[in-house]
Amino acid sequence: MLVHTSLLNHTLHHKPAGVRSSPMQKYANPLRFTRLADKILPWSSAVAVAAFIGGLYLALAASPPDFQQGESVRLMYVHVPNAWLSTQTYMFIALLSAVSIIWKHPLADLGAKAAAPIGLIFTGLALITGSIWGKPMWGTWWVWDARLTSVLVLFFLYLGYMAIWRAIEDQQKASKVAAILALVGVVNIPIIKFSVEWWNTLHQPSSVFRAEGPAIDGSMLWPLLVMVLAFQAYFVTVLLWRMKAEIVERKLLALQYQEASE
Amino acid sequence: MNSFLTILKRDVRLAIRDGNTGGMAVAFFLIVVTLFPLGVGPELPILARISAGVIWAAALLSALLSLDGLFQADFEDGALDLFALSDPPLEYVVAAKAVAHWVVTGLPIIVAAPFLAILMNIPADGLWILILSMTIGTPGLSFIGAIGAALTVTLKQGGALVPILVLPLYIPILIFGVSAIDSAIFGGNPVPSLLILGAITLFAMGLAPFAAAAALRAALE
Amino acid sequence: MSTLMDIVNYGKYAPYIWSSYAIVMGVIFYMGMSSFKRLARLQKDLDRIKGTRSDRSEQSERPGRNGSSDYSED
Repeated sequence: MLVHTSLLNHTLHHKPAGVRSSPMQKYANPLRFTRLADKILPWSSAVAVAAFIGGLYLALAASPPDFQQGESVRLMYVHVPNAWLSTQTYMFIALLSAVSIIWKHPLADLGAKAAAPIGLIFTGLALITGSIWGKPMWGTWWVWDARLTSVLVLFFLYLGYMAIWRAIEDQQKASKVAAILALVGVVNIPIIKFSVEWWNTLHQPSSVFRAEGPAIDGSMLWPLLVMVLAFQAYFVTVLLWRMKAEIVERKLLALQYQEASE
Repeated sequence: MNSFLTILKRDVRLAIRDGNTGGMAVAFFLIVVTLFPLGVGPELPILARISAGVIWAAALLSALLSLDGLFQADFEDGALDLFALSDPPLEYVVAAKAVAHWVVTGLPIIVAAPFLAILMNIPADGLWILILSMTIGTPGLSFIGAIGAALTVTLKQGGALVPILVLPLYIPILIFGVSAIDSAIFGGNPVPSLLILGAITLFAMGLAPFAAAAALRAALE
Repeated sequence: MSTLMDIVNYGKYAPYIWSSYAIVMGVIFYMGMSSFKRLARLQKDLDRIKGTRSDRSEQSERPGRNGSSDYSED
């Protein structure tokens, strides 16, 4: 019962009378947000599908093998977008967490919670594809290279963030605690990155294979950009689906609670 | 400052009374370090090579050990509510408690570390830097740990969650603590690593009280 | 003009390339579909509950008292 009341309070967030609605609060209204999401979703999903089809064609068929790395360069088109999106999604979560703490914006919590599993997937895929790329390049599935190690730590940060959401039953409390954790994490990411790079140069003074190569050729840029666009559009689409689902779920719980208390 | 010392003394005294003192942390530290020669083999050159890393990693785990109780007991018996209502800000209380945690776990670890280092066949050049790097780094462990403890204070079964939250944040301290010792052993200059380690600890001391106090306020609502 | 065999065969890298693309696209597709299905299922549940409620009484749909107007359809 306790859970339900708190959920209800969280769900039925409303502006106190007399408070002017700032642009920040405009989309705090779930109904308005749902309408906006419904306007965006057809576009974002269409862009995602089209860009994935185009990107896969460019990456797998239309682009030439690289002068130095040969055909293995095709692994980059699927590894690099995931690696970028994994960091970007964490930054997104941290940004929404700040919004949630400063403006108490309920949708910011929802967005951060909905984005976390997507970010975890991107991070996991960046690790897997990095590892698959490493086998032909380094001759082993895993090398403690600075970039891979940083991504691995990011993976742990995602796990901790999602574990907090799961562990704390009271969703309102969970949102606050998770937001603090996300901000602590984002402050630490540059420090962790710096220390991992320091550690790496200490132990591997010779230059290892660099994921981006010396310079990106034009023929490699296009497949990469289209794939990045596809992943971005995919992120927006799935994020909106998950946020909508979260809103509907809270609405359902609130209705059930009302029913029970009648 | 007075209230700071009062809380510090109170927490240290409570820890001693509960038998939750250095003894436990040191025993754990000792056992973890002992596992490595048994796992890796007793060859002295190998042990010397990994000694700094093993001792530091074991120190991280020992610091985790008593984090669970940092705020939990006070949260459950309502003392934390009183702290939140009383005059010194909660940030202050958190800092005092983190220092108390360092006194009962960090300090004994620092004292035990040289003996373990000898067991691990650490070269003599590294011994002093080991003590120095632990002195600089372990307060950071207690302060960062306080964040993890505060975030999980409402959970009955927070045990497994705290390491998942805290260990990734400990990585920089591990890296620079070990790199200071290794550079002393292998003929480098340990000073830059020690300075960065100090910066990380100071940063943690500045940031952690605010983050932990915010988490405690959320828990107390 | 490349034949299908030329496209599919990336020299010694073929297994790595095909497996990583398969894993990524598979996981991405699964994640997207499960998110979409969850939304659809929840939406259906909500519509069903709303349907039974409005049959019973029009009033209970809008309590208004506790500010649930944020969620009521207007």
